[in-house]
Amino acid sequence: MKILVCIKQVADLESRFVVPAGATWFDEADLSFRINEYDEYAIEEAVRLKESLPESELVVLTLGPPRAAEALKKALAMGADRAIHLNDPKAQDRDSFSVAQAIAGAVKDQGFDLIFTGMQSQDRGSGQVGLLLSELLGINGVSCVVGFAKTEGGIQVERELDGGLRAEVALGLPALVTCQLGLNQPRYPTLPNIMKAKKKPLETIELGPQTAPRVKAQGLSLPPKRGAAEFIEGDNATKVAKLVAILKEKKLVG
Amino acid sequence: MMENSRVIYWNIPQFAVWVMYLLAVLSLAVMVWGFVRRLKVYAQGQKRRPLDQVGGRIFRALSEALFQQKVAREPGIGPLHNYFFWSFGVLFLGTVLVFIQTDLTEPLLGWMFLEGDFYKAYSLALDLSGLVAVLMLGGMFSRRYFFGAQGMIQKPLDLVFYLDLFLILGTGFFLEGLRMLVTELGVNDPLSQYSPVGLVLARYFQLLPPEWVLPLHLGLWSFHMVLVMVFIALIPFSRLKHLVLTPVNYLFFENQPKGHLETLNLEDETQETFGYQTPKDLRFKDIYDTDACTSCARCQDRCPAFNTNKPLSPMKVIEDLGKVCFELKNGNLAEAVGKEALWACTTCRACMEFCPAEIEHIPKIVGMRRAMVLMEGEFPGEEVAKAMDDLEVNGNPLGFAKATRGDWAAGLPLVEVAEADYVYFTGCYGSFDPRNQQVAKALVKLAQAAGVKLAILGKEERCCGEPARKMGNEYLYQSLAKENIATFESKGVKKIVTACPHCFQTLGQDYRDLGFQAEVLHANQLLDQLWQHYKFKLNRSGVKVTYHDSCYLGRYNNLFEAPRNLLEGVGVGFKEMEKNGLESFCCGAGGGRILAEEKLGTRINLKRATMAQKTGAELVVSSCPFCLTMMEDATKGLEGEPLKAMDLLELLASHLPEPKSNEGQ
Repeated sequence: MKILVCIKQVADLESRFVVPAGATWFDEADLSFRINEYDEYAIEEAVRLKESLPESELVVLTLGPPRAAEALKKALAMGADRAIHLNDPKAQDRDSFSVAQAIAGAVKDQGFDLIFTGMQSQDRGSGQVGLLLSELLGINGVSCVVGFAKTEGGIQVERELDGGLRAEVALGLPALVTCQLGLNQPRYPTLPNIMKAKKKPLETIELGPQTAPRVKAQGLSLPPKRGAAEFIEGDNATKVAKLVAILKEKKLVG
Repeated sequence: MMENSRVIYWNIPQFAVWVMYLLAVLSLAVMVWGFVRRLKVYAQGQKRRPLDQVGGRIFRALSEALFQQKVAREPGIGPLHNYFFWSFGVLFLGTVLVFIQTDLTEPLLGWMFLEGDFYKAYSLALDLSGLVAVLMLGGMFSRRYFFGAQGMIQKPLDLVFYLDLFLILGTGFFLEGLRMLVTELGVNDPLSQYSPVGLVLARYFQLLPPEWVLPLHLGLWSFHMVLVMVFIALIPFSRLKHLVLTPVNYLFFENQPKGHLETLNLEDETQETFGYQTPKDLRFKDIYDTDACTSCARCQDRCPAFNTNKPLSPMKVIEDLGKVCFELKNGNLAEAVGKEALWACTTCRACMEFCPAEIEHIPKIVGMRRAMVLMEGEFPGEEVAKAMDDLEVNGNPLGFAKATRGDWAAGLPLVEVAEADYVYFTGCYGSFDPRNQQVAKALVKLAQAAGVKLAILGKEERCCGEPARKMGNEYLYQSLAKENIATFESKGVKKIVTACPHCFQTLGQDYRDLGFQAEVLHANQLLDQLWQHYKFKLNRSGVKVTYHDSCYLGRYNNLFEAPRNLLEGVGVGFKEMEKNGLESFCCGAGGGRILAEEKLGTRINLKRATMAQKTGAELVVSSCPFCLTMMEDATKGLEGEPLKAMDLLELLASHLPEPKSNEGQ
């Protein structure tokens, strides 16, 4: 079986984001990057599947700027066999369709039986690339997966629906699933695997500039600052006095 | 005339002496076999590196074997053990002298030295030593079996060898008494004065029917000999093995600064396993340690995890490792010891500090943690895995953005690295934890008052890697360390000060293995130096204070005086806790435990804070961000008199005289 995982490297959410005036993306200087959380569930599920099927191959793919190669290395250390880097220094300007299109172009002739992606990216959060990719490849696609099992000739997955409902879905192959929190606990790569990963093939394909975007970002800004929480300090008597003063000031007590 | 001597083998037929020699050869053979068969157990591990400084090692081994300073450190049992050892040693020496005279000097040279005044001294020494040995043995026996030192484990044959020793000493006195009844009592009374115990017994034996005396003596003698042979043969098969194995362990001690852990070579691509998974991964010393352990429980008595009902006893770790090694099946070590026990260790080093057998517990525990982390990707909990991930991505275990690391120092009087007297390595807690940021600011204030220029690396600083390393994540530690070293080197940093004992140990010692050589001081050292040179002034106050010695400052680096000098500078009403200095009780956060939830047993920090409270202090002062975090947390849950936790730097900074109005620009 041939398995593909599509991942994205995103900025750590704890980062201090700075958006330069007029820019449509944040300044990446001084930021830390990591694998998109949902994509880690995708990698973990794919690695587990591969480990249960001795004859299978697991490929990990990303579309991103040169820094995204780090994410591929981690996926290789977690257990992928080889990696494909669709390199685009301006990747952040692409819309979801163009990303899906580029991936489809790179993988359509490779005959993948199963494709795992994250449900959405933590930075852009469109939740579209996975399902668009299944459409472009003309294969089954199912989103928001929290349970996965390989069955005879297909797969059975559990989807998380609104209100905590769970739906069980059976699909034939080839298929694409997008993975949601709760699917699994991603592994911590072992040192021998980290060392082996250094020797695994990592193919870089340079992408040309995106043509005819369907969605164009107009602007990007930080959310307006809301009132911060205030800690009242001091001994109990002072704390009470301060609290009463605040409540009176805000006219919350008479 | 009366000779001042005795007939050796009095009343013993020659053939019985031959039988004795035959038995002696047999029992010695059993003993040697008992030790030799262990060699294949020791050989399972990694190849042993040749010993350096052999002379010094032999000297140390002999000195510890004969004078037992480390054994004597424990009140009660320590002196008991030593007096027993020395008195039994005199008895052994006495027997050796008999052998030398009877079988060497007399037949070969016709020389007998057990005569005259020497014999008198010999007789008195042996007689009194026997008495001391009986008393000490009784003390040790009752401690073990009646006043049950908590948590002592029984070993096979424990009772057998106690009984054997009692009988050897008892029959020895009876033999002396019976012989003296015949050869000295009323025959050579002045000589009998030199065997006071024997004399008392001999007088009692006068009550025996005379015809019983000789057969009884021969019978007892034969029994005594068998007991001695049993004793010799028992040595390698019982706790008595420590007579040989423990002193020898002093030859193998790790000739490294305290706290040294092997820096794994992660570049070596032929290496397939990392850490201690099975006995073949262990060093020679690790395996030998398990055999040299006397199960004295001194480690366990001091272990903060054991004393708060966690499943860790350093003694049991060694015992369990020994079991796996002696099975010779290359079994899994972490499973035998128990993973929860391994994760519970705070690496406080109390076990190693007080082990009289020179056993190295922590390198084994960290070695097994390495195997769990590096080979299995296992951690004690998800919170620790998350912290590791944060360390990887942001260079701190708290999950803050690395770019904000220097934000705490905004507006403070710091200089550029090139102009600084010292680079202040702030560490993760000083940089990000609001409580410890106060300590960082206090250090800057103190340095300013003393005219010392500090710089920080700010967003270029990374975690020193200590919690990751102690948790077993050597890979992450080395990648963080290499980043820091590269930053220090690119900026030409030569002098570093830190307020964190964990950073201090790691930068100052662990980084040496990675080629880093800068001078690293703990803030206490720097401030103590400045204080001794009158570089700053302190207001005095009478606040009641006790000082909690951080493990990594105290036990690891012997920095006990500097903080106390500085406390004296503030003139506080200072009172020590019962457990202070080398005996200090860990706050619970070492060994990477700062990253982990304390899910098992009771809380270590609460136990320690209670000890601080008992001194009547208002303030428990420490010099470590982890200790401060733990103490601060514990004081909130403490019943009774309120107790506040403070870092020494905060206390000092709050006692700086107000700056004059033209200063502080």
